[in-house]
Amino acid sequence: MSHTILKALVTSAALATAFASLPATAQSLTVATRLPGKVHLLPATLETTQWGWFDNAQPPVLTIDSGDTVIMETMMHAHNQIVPGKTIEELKKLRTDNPGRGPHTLTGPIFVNDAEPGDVLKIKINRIVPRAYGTNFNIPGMFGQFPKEFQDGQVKYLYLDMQRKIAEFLPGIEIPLQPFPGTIGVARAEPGRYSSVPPGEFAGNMDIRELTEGATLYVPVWAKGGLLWSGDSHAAQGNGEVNLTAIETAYKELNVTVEVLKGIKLDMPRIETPTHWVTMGFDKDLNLAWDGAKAQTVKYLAEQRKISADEAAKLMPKVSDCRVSQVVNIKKGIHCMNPKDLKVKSIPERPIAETKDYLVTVGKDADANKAMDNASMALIELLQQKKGLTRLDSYALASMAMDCRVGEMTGEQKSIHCLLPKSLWVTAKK
Amino acid sequence: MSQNGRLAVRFLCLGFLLLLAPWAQAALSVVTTTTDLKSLVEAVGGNRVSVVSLAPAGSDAEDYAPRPQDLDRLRDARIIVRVGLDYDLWLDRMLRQTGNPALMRGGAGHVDSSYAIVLLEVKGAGLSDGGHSHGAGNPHYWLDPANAEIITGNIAEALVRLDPANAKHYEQRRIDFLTRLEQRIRLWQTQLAPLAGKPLLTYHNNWPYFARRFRLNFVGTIEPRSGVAPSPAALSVLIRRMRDEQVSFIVRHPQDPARDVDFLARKAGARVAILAASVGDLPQAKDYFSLFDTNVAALTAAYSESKP
Amino acid sequence: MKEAIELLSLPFFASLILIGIHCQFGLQVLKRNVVFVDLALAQSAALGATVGFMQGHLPLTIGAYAWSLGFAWGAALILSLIRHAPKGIPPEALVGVLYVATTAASLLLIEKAPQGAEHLKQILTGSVLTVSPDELVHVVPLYCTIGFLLWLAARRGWFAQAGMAGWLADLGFYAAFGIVVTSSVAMAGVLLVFSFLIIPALVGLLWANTVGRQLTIGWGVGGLAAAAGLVASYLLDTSTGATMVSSFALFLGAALGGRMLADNGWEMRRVGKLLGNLVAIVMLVSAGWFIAKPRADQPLLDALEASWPALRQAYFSPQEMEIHADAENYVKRYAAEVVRLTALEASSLWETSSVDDEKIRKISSFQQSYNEMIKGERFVMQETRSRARERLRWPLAWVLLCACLALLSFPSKRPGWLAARLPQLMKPTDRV
Repeated sequence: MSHTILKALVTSAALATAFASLPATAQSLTVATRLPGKVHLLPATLETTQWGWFDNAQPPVLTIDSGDTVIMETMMHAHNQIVPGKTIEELKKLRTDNPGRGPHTLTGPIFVNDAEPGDVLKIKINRIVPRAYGTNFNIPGMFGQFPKEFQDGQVKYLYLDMQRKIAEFLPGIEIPLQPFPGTIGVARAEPGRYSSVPPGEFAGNMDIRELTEGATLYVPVWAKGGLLWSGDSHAAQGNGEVNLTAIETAYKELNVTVEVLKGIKLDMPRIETPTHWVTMGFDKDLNLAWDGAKAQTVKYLAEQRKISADEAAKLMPKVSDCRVSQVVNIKKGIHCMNPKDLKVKSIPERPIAETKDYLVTVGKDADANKAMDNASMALIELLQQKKGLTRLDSYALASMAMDCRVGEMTGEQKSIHCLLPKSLWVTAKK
Repeated sequence: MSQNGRLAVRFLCLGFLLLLAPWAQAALSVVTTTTDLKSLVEAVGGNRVSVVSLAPAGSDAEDYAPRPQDLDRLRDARIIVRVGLDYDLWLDRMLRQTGNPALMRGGAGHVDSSYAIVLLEVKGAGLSDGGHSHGAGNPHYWLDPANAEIITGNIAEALVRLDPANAKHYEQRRIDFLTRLEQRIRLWQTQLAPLAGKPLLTYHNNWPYFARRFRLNFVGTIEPRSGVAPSPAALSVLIRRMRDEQVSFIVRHPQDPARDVDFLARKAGARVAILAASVGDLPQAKDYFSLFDTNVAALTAAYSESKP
Repeated sequence: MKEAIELLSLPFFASLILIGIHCQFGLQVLKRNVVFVDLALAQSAALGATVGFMQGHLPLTIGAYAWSLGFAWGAALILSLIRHAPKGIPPEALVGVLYVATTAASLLLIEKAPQGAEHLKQILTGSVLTVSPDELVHVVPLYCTIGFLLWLAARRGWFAQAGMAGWLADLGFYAAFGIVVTSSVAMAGVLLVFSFLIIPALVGLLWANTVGRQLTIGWGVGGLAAAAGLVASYLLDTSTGATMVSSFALFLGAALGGRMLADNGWEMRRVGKLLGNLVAIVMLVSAGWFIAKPRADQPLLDALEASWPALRQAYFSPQEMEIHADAENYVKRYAAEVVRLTALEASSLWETSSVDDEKIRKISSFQQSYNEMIKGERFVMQETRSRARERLRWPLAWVLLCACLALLSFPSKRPGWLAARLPQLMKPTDRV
């Protein structure tokens, strides 16, 4: 099926024009000779992008060797409501499932020679150059964490000032930019088509904002060649991504170096930043996502410090800084940042009330999902009361800049702490 | 009979009537924006529903100006079925006026029958404020008879939701309808098979879904935008194309201006077929089935006339 | 070119015939001060056709025509009584009321009509471009007869008579006009017929005193304007009716300007000064608006920039130029992709033998994505421009302030020059 589509769509002339029209500036920005391996260009066109699914039978659009560098272009995906389904049951299911955002547009797949199931793909993010605009949407009553409360829609275009690394959301409110691919991942082991919305052991739609320029993703290979995709390009995102959208943009350049690592055992993706190793867990239920993240973190700490699992579990609350990545991609996600520096003995604060630097709300409940709902909704309301933002602006700002940290998770009362830096409010410059 | 006895009889009668009342009221009142949807709701609901279409037969539902009585019709309705996309925007203001949350977007009685349809000509430049998507796609999707499967699915889902007691009835009727429809689609496809790929022209762009199902090749639209007459340059291009590609007939629907169509037909020696874009546009197009019967007949007639 | 001539010659010929008869009526209509009488009559005819339709006569049949003519004549009867209206009531007002009343009546009837009555609006929306030879063959003898009678009536002064005779003459006038308007509106549409009626007659009135000359000038100018309008409509790819009306309006503007110049003895220097002052005022207001709201639409600057993009270099920083140009390129690229997708979708409707929902959905989604990204790039272009303009705001304010100070310190020797000259230039002449 997909083969016929691709065949029907591929026209060599179109591909040639696409390459020709890849902006000269994108290339001039990066001095190709300094990049490791052979450098490949991959512009985003109808032919080089997939739509909405990961399918390990998808013919690759590019083949590279281990150690090569790819300069990819990505597309913004439409926030449409295109959904399949015909029978009453299918229609009902679609409505109740709340399918998350419309299918993503993903550039790829890239076939990496020698990558076999059981290997690990090391993907170093060398550089990200977004286009100069971004958007944030609320699709009325459809998606996001609070579709019932937000029946009205809004769309905002933001100018991305990459020199100052900020985007002005409203006069006097500036969101710092930290571009990262919301979705980057490989094919699953299972044959067939899988929605690109939920993340998993193949990485995918992780929406982890630590995966920015300079970070490296380690992801287990599940299919021959790995089959690497990326899309859902973000310019900045809050931990939680509550209204479903970050500052959504398209990348002029997503510059990655891909290496195949043999002989390493890895069952879930990990991210390495200059200072931390990030572990993660995903599930429809935030409680179970926490369990997953915890298991991964314990495993990592035990490896890193060469201690037993029990000791690692005891150590974890002291050194692992866990955040709610997102709660809107069908499978919710929690990621934990573990310092490389073994001397670090504490994690950033989990305040329970407003501090000098942050607006703070806390949600407490036996159910982590409810705790997260309460904390984020409280922050959205706080923004309206304290800062005089409109409902939809509060929702959008929370989605783009809120930071939901995981607090106490063991006892009867689980707690989530949502923080919003006061530094977003700058004294009006004009 | 004593006074008391008569009174008792009266009470009994009254009680009996009250018992009957739910039966009398049982017909679920449904309001649709167009006659096509009315026909489809009737197909699924049968005698368990009473359906009214706001835009009457033969009117242009896209530019319909609601009347005061329509508000009453909406107030009494339990379900509203709409075309959606940009087609019946006038409904939104009326719904706000009636203020019944169940009928509002997202409410239990609100059916946007475009849900899950494979849309054509989606030009949408994204969401605008209010979340309404402009250029959300060509809205004439009911003209692909196969789409009735999805439309009736959306309708049946709402009927079952609000009237679960009759769920079996609705689902069975829908399946019967779809079975009959499938046979008819095959018949229509055979009838239109000789026209497959043959170039033709339309006045208003309401036929892409129809064209897709029956493999018709609409090479152009006479009006450049809805309600805008073609310019002389556009007309001369059309005439040239009609001569070059041997376009042998033009379709329009009864509300479209005859002048421009007749002019082109005269210049290029083509036939004109008048098609119904909605149930009731032509007297023969009484319901969803006869809508296609009429159109298929008109097309095949025009085609056989146009053959030298 | 051959195609254009083939396409435009018949409409041009039709326009000449229509102008021929309407210019005559126009002079009369202007004299009686019932300018909108054609609208009222045409709408009455449409009302008649609606009633006819409800009686079972399809549009464009004899029955429907009889009904419309009957109603048009009914309206003519009412119009002929206008001369007996109480003093102080302007006839134009009554004509207007007749127009809205008949329009409303036909709307109400269409609503109640069983089905398909919407195409009745075709009666009022003719298009001169698609006029058929048959239509012309029918109207030419009719128009000639009516034209001759009208000329005779004007020459013999029948309309000027008092009492019964005068009323009968008026009734005849409106009845004849009713016949003409009913057919001409169906051929050329309401807007264009109104222009044919009023504008050539106005130009005639401006430049001549006798009826014969007024007619000649009206016909000549009308023919020129029609030709110009048709050609422009072809070249600019715009709808014919609206382009022709604009062309007529431009010709009228030129005739008015010429008249004013002629009345002032063709003194070009004075006109030049007046124009100079006008330009100065426009520039001043634009500058003021710019300083007040640099981010808002700046009609003058926007227009200049659109026709001369290099102007941006004057106030964009090099980096802004680069961002702007980059965004512009992306818009072009995405737009090309959208065109490609549209073509792909259109051909996929009938070319392939199977129905492929997946492919259509992908195309739809991509079209939306591209359009969203085009919107984003446009936003970037606008934002860079706004930022550059904001930077320009205060320097411009200083320049303006200095200029004002300079003017204040060196007051003109002739204060109030403009105020003194304006009324003189605008004053109507004694000629009527």
